[in-house]
Amino acid sequence: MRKKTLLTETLEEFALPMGIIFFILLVTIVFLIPKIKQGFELRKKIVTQEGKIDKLSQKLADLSTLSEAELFDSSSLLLTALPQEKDFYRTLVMTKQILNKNNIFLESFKFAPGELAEETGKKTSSLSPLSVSVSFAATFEDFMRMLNEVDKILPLVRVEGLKVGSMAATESASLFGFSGKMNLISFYSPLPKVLGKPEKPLPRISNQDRQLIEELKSFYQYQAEAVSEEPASAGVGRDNPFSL
Amino acid sequence: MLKGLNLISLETRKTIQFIRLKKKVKTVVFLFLTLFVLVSLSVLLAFLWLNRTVKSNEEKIAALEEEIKSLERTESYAVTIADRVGGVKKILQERKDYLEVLSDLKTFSIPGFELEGLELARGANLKITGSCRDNQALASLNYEVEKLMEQKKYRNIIFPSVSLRANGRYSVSLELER
Repeated sequence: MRKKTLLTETLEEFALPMGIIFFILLVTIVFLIPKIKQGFELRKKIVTQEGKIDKLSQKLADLSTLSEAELFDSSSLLLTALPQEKDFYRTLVMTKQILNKNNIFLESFKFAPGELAEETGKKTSSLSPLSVSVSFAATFEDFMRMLNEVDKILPLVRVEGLKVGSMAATESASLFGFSGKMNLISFYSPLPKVLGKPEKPLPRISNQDRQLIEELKSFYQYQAEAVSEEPASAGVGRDNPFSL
Repeated sequence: MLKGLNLISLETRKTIQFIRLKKKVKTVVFLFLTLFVLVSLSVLLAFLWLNRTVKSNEEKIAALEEEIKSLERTESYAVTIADRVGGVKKILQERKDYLEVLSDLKTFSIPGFELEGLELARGANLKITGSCRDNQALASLNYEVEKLMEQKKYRNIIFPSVSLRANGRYSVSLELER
């Protein structure tokens, strides 16, 4: 009976400290530990945010240094050099203009425009070629002048192969008339779909790139309108690109 | 040997020990509680600070994104330039210098040699077919080819075939590899 009284007394005396310890443990498990975990997650989030802020600040600083007008001019020039759409009409007109200008007789041409448009951002390869096969007759000098000009025109064109069937040389050893076939390749490339991610760094335009743009400024730009010297009639132009 | 007398009764001693134990327990619990309160307060303050920082950073990001968006046009031009420059460089690099190769054709403007065909392949390799009127024209052609080889503009110059036709002319084919 006495023992029971002592036990009860002991329990009564330690009930409050035990209750406090139980409360501390309970609060630690239910509240403190989850909050500490959340704190670590928030810290991680802050580190990510700070990285993003750095990137955005850098990009904003870069953007602020650029001149919109200058960029517009450069991008327009580059889009002329390398169009985003396959413009077979323009290629055709340009080819004819170059040949005419250099007194080269166009015997025939052949090219397959294929699919006319490719959706922006869905590009499979960086450059898509549009090849025109041209049969011609010319003097050697005119042909050389034309080749020289082809290297300095916009949109950019590449001569890809030349085959000459007959080439007459005189007894005085000067090369003159010849007829042949050559492939002219123009290019197009759909624009990339990269806007929409503000933290994506701004592409760098190096001094080398600027030099290239300056070099392109000296190139001759062929305009499709330049051929419309003849009075407009039904069935020409874009309606019928083969009607030269 | 004289042993000391313990005048305190066993029950009183037990009571004293119990009181001491109670004190110890109270001290430990008090310390534990103080520590808990301090840790809890620190955690709460840190949590509040972290939350505030996250919100402040979110606001900063939104403001920066808004500013970048206002310069979207400039960015699109820069992206276009970077993309086009790569393509333009590639086209210019892959261009072959046909002018230089064709200029060398003048080398073969030899009396008695007639150019009958010419093919410029993709790698700017030149294939020439022609005919020579007589031995002298053939010798002159060979001399010019040797002179061209000495200039080392071509990796290799080959005469794949030289044959005599029924009309007495020599058929010649020549390949100039770059």
